[in-house]
Amino acid sequence: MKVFYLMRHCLFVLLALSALTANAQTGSLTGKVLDETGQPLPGASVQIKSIGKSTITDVGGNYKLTGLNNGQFTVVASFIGYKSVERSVAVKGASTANFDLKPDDQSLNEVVVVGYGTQTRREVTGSIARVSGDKIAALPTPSFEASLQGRAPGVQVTQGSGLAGSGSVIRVRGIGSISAGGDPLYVVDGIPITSDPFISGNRGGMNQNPLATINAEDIESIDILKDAGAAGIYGSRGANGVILITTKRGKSGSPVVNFSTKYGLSTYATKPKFVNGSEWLALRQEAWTNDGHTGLATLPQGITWDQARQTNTNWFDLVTRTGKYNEQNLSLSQGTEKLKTYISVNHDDNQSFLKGNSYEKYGFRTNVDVKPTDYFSASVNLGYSKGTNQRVNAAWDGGIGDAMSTALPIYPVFNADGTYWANGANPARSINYVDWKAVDQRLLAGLTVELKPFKNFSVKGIANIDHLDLTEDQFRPKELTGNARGYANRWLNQQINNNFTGTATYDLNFSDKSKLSFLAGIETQSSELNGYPNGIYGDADGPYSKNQDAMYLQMQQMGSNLYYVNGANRTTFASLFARATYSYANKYTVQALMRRDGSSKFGPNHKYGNFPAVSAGWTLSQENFLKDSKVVNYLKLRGSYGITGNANIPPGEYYAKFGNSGSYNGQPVVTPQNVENPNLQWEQLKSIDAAVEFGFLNNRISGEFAYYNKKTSKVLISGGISPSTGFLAAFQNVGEILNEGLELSLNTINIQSKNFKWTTNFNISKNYNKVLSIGNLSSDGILGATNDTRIIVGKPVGTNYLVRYVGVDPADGLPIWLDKNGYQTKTFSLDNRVAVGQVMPDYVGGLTNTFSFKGFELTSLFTFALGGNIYDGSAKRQLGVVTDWNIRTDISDRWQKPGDIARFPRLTMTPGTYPGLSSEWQYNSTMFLYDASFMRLRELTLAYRFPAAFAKKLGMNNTRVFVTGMNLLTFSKYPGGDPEIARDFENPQDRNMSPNVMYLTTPQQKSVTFGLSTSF
Amino acid sequence: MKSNIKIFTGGVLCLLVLAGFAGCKKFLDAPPLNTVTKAEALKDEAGVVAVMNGAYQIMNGSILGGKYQVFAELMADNIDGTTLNTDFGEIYNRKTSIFGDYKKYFYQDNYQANYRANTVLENLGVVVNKKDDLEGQARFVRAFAHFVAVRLFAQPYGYTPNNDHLGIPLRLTTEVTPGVRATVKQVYDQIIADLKIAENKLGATNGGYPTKWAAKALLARVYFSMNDFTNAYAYADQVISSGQFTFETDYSKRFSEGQSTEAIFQMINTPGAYDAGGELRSQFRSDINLPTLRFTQQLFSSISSGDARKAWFNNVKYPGLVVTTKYNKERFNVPMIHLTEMKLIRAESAAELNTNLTVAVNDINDIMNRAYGGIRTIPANSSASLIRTTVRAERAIEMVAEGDRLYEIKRIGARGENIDKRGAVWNCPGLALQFPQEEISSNTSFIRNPEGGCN
Repeated sequence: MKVFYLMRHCLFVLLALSALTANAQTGSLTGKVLDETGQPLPGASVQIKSIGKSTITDVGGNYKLTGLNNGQFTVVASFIGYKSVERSVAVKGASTANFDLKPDDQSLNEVVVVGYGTQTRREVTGSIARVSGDKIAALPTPSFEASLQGRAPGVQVTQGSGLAGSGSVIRVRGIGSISAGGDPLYVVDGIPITSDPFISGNRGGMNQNPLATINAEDIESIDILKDAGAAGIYGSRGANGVILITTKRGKSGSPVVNFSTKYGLSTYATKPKFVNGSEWLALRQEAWTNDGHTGLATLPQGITWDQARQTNTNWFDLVTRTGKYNEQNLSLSQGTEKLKTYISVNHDDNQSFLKGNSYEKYGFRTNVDVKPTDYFSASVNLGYSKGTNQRVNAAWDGGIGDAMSTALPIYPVFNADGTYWANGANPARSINYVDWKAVDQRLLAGLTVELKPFKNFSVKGIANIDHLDLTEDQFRPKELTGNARGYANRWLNQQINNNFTGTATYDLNFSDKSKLSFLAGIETQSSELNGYPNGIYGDADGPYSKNQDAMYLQMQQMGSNLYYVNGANRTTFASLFARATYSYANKYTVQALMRRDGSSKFGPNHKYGNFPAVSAGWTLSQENFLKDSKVVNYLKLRGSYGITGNANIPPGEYYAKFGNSGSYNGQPVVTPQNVENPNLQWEQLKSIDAAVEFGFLNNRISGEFAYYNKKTSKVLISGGISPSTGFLAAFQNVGEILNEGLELSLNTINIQSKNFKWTTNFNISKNYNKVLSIGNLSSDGILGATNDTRIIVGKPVGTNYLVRYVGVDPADGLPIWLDKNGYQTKTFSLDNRVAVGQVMPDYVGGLTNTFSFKGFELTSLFTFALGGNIYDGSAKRQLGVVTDWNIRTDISDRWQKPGDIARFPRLTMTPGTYPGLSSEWQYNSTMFLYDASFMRLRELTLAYRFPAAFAKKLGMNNTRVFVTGMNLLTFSKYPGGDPEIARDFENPQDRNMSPNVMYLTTPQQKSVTFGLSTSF
Repeated sequence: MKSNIKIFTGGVLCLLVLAGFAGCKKFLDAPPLNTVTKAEALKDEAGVVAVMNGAYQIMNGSILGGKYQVFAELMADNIDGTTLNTDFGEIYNRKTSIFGDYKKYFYQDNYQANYRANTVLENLGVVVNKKDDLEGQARFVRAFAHFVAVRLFAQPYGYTPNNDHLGIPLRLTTEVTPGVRATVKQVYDQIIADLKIAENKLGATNGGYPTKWAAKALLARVYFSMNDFTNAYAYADQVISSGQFTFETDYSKRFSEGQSTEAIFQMINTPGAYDAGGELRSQFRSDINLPTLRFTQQLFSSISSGDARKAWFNNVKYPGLVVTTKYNKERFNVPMIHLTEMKLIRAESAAELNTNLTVAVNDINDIMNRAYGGIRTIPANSSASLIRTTVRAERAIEMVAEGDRLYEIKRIGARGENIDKRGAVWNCPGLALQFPQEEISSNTSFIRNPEGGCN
C-alpha cells in the first residue's frame, strides 16, 4: 500500500515541477535521430550540455528542444550501444538538426550489471559474459536457462529433456563441488531466487524446475559473473558463478506497446531405435537356444507365444504425439525523466511431445522507476506467474521410460474384454488413468529506495521477496490401485526467501582522470520452506484439487501423520561487503572487494567466512602507442584473484537433527536424521582469471581470450559412513578440486554493405578438471547416486568407473575383459573396474551466423560439445542380457556362431553365462560407454522486418515475422537417443557427478515455431 | 504469515544493529524448524517413546513388512526364478555382489532400526514411568535387528565348531565408527543377552508392542536356529503355556487387521495412517496384477488336494504360473512370530530331544487337523523320527511365503543334512548375502563375504 501512496505523491511533485518550467524563450531545435539503416531511434537522448537541457526522442525518432536562446550550441546525441555524436549547431528561431548514429560494437560505455550496481564495460575488471534478452526469448526451450547454451564462453548448458518445464544443468567454468550444489546463483533484479530442483525430490522421474516460472520475454539481459573479480561480491554463494537476470524496464519516450505471439509444433529431436515384436521374440529364442534349452523360450509376465506373435505394440508412438506450443506477450513501456513504467502480461502453453504432458503459464510483471527529485529515487519490481504442469511419469517411473524399457512390443495395450492389460508395464494405461498436476505460483517483488544527499554519494535500501508456492496433486484411480478406492496425494510446499540490502556508494573524483568509487553494503537473507513434509495422502475417489472436502476429511483422519512445518530448511545469511574501484585516465582500473558472510548453516566453530578478491584492468588501446592505430581499436588486459565460497548444503548438518516422521501404532514417531559434524564449514574456491579483450580493424574482429585456474578446497563431500551405523553419509570438508581452462570468444563482421551484412559469433571453452584429494575417503565411497560415476584422485569429477571391454571371443561368443592390470580375462569382476571416461566434455561452444539483407535476417546457432563420454545405463539392459526389456536395433552386430567377429557377445538369458556376472545391473563396462561429442543446429531463424514506412501505414512499428527451428539437426555418434543428457537426479551430488549418464532419459524436443512481434 | 513477519523484523533488526556483527548472532541462530536438536528430541519420556516408535516404523517399512520375507524366499527353494532379473535375479541366484540398492537399503535400514533402539537405551535416564518397558523393547529390537542381519549376511550358527566364523558388525552404541565384523558366536551371545533382559523387563501385555512373550518367542526361534533344542523347547513351551495366545482354526486370520489370536509379535497396521506389510503386497499380492514373485510348480504339487492350505496358492488366474494368495488383502497386520511357529518349534525340539513326545504329537496334530479337516493326523505313540519328519513337512507348507524356508535349509544343513531342493550345499558362499560396498569403502580392511558358488 505504501508503494502506491509513494507513487501518487511522486506524481503530484512531477506535475508541479513541469508547471514551473514554462517561461518564454525564442529559439527551438527539432530533428530526428536515426540509426545506421536510416530507421528512427526512439529513446535516444539529445543534450545541450552547456545549458543543461536534454530530451529523449519519441517513437519516430523525433526530438524537440524548446526555450533556447539563439546562438551556437554543442549538441550531443547518444543512445546505448551507439557511438555518441557531438556537433555544433546554430540555433536561430525554429532550427533543425538531424543525427545519424552508428553502432558502437565495442562500446566501452556499455553498462554491465556487476552485482549491487553497474559498471561501464571500460571499468570492468572481472569476467562477465552478457547475453541479451532477445537471444533468450528466441528459442522455445522448456525453461529460459536452456537458451544460454552456446551463447557464452565458459558456460556449459546441458538441457535436461523435452519434458515440459524441465531444467538444465549449468556449469560455469567447470565443476568444483561434489556433494554441495554446483549450480550457479540466480539473481533476478537483485533478488537471489530459489532455483533448487530438489524441492519435490525426483518425483516421477523429473526434478521440478523453479526457473521455469521466469518469463523469457521479460528478460532484458543476462550477465554471467564467472570469476572472483566479478562473483566475489556474492562471497559464500559465488563459487559456482552468478547469473544476474535483469528484467525489462520502462524506457524514456512516449508509450510503446509491444506485442508478440508464437505458435509452434514439436516432436522428439532423436530417439533410440528398438526391435519390433517378432524380432524381439527371435532374439529371445536365440538366447534361449544359446543357453542350451530346447523348445520355445519362456516369456515374461505370463504372455503366451500365441499372444506374443499376434502383438506388435509400438509403445514409443503410443506415449508421444506432435507437441504444440503457443505464446503471447503484451507489454507497455513508457517513460519520462521522472517516471518510467514497464508492464507486461504473458501466456504460454507448451504441450510437449509426450502425451498428457504440458506446462501452461500466465505471468504478469510491472517495473516502475520513480525519480521525483535529483536526490531521491525509487523503484518497484513486481513479477507474478502461475504455471500448471500436467505431469506424466518418465524415466524409471514409467511413461516414455517404460516405452524404452519394460513395455515390450509383445505386450498388448488391451485385454480381449477391452480393459487395459495390466500384467506388465503398460504406459498407455497409466497415462490414461493417472491424474497429476503441479501448480507453481511465484511472486518476485522488490522495492528499492535511493537517496543522494550530496554529490557523488548515494545510499540505497532494498527489500526483496521471492515466494514460490508449489501445489502438486496426484490421483491414481481404483483401476490402478486395484483396491476399493483410488489413492490421492497432495504435496504442498511454499519456499520463501526474503532479503534486505543496504548499500552506500561514494565516487571520489581526484581529477578528470583519476577516480575512486566506493561501495559498502550490508545484507541479510533468510529462506525457509513451509508445508506438509509428508504431504496429504490416502484413499480417495478423485484428486484433492477437485474435492477439497475429501481432503479435509482425510487430513482429520491422518492424525499425527499429518503435520505442517513452518520453517523447514530454514537458512539465514548475514553479510557485510565492500568494493573499491580506482581508475586512472580510462587506462588503468584496480578493484578490491571483500565480503564477510555469516550463515546459520554452520556451527559456532565456523559461522563466518571472509571472501576477498582483487582485480585489475589495463586498456592498452588508450596508451599513446596504440591510440592512433588503424589495426588495433581496442585492447585490454584483465586479471583477478580471489576467494569465493559455496555453502549449498542442507541446513542443520553441523548438529544431530531429529525430526517428526508420521506415526506407528497410532503413536507419533521422531527419528534421527543425520550424523553430526560440528566442524562443517564453507567450501573455499581460490581462483585466478587472466584475459585479453580485443577489437581489430574497425572492430570488425573483436572478442576475448581468457585463462582461469580455480582450486576448490575443503570440498563438501557426503559419504564415507559405515551403513551398519544406520547411516550412509555425512557431510565433511575434505577434498580438493582443480578446474583450469581457456575461453575464446570471437565476433566478426564478415561482410558489411548497404543492404547485406554477415556477422559471426563464435565461442569455445576448454575445461580441465581434476580431483586433487578426497581425504581419507575411498573412491567407491562417493557415488553419483544410482549412476556409475565416481570421484577418483587424479581424475575429473564424475569419472566413469567401469570394467574394460575388449570384444567378443570369436570362438565361443563370450566377452573378453581387461583385468585391473590390463591383462585379458574372460571372467567379469567388479574388482576390475578402472577409471575409463569422464562425463564432462573437453570443449563446449557455439557458433552463430547472422545474415541480414534488407528486412530479412537469417540466424543460425550451432552448439557443440567435444570429448567426454556418455554412459548409457539403459543400454546395459537394452543390449545386455536378454530380459524383459526392449532391445535396441544395434544388437544386430552380435555373435551368433563360431567365427563371428562382432561387437556384442552371444545372447543369453542368464547373467552367469558371462562368467563372473552376477546380475544385469552389474554389467557396468565400457561396452556401453560412448563418445559424447555432438553438434546440433540449435537455432535456425528466418525473420523479416517490415519496412518502417509500410509498418507505419498499419499503425505499427518494428513489425517482425519469423520462423524458428530448434534442434532441427543433431550430429552424434551416440546410437541411444539424444546425445545431450541431464537425467532426473536424486540429489546435488548426482547432479554434479552424473550429467551425461543416460537412464531412459526423455529426449529433447525438436520444434518449429512461427511468430510475429510488433509495437505501436 | 506470522513467521514471515518475524523474519522480516529479524532481518531489519539485524541490519540496524549490525555493528560488528554482534547483533546478528541471534539472526544467524536459525536452525531448520522441521527438526529439533537431539537434546530437545530426547528431553523427556515422550521423546524417547517417539524414537522407539521410529524403530518399529522402519522395521516394518524396510524389513519385516516384506523385504525380510522377500530375501529369504528368493534365496530359498520355493520361488520360480526363471524370469527374475536384476536385484531379485541376483539374490535368487545366490550370488549377490557389493552393489544392489534393494539389499543396501535393507541392510542400512535394519541397522537404522538398531540405531534407534540404541538411542533409546542411551537415553533411559529421562524416562520416568516406562523405563523397564522401553529398555525391554529397545533390547528386543536390537536383538531382532542383529538376528535378521546375522542370518542373511553370514554363514549360519554351526558353520564352524566354535562359531568363530565372521558374522556382522555388532552395533551396541550410537557411536559412528567404521564397521568391523564380530564372530557369529559374539553376535548370538549378544542377541541372547539382550532378549534375556528383555523377557524380564517387558510386561505380559503391551498394546501392540513387544511383550515378555514376544521376547521369549524370539528366544525360542534364536535357540532353534542354533539347534539348541533344550532352550528352544523351554521357551516355546513357556509361550504356548502362557495361555495368552489361542490356536485358531481359520487361516485367513493370520494376516488380518487385529483378528489373529495367534500373533505373538506383529507389525501393526493403522488404517489411513500407517500401512504395514506394503512390500509383501507389492511383491506377492496376486488378486490384481501378476506379481513379480511366483512359486514353483514343485511346491504347488507337493501340497495335497485335501489340504486346506492349497488355497494359499492359485495356478489358474495366470495360466502356467503359481502365485500365493496369502497377502491378497488391502491391509493387514504382519505377524512376525505366531503360535503356529511356536508349536512347530516345540514339536520338532521335543522330537530331537526325544522327550515330551505326547506334547509334540498334540502340537503337530493341531496343525494337521486344521489343514486336513481331521482326515490326516499322526498316532499318539509316534516315534521321534516320524514326528520330526512330519513337523518339517508341515512347517514347509505352513510357513510358506513367510520367509522361513531359507533358515531351515541352513539350520538343518548345519546338522549335516542338505535339504535344498535346488541342489546347493547349505554352506555354499552365495547363501550369505554380500555386504553393501559402502561398508567396504568406509573401512578398507573390512572383510567381505566370498561370492557365488551355489550352483
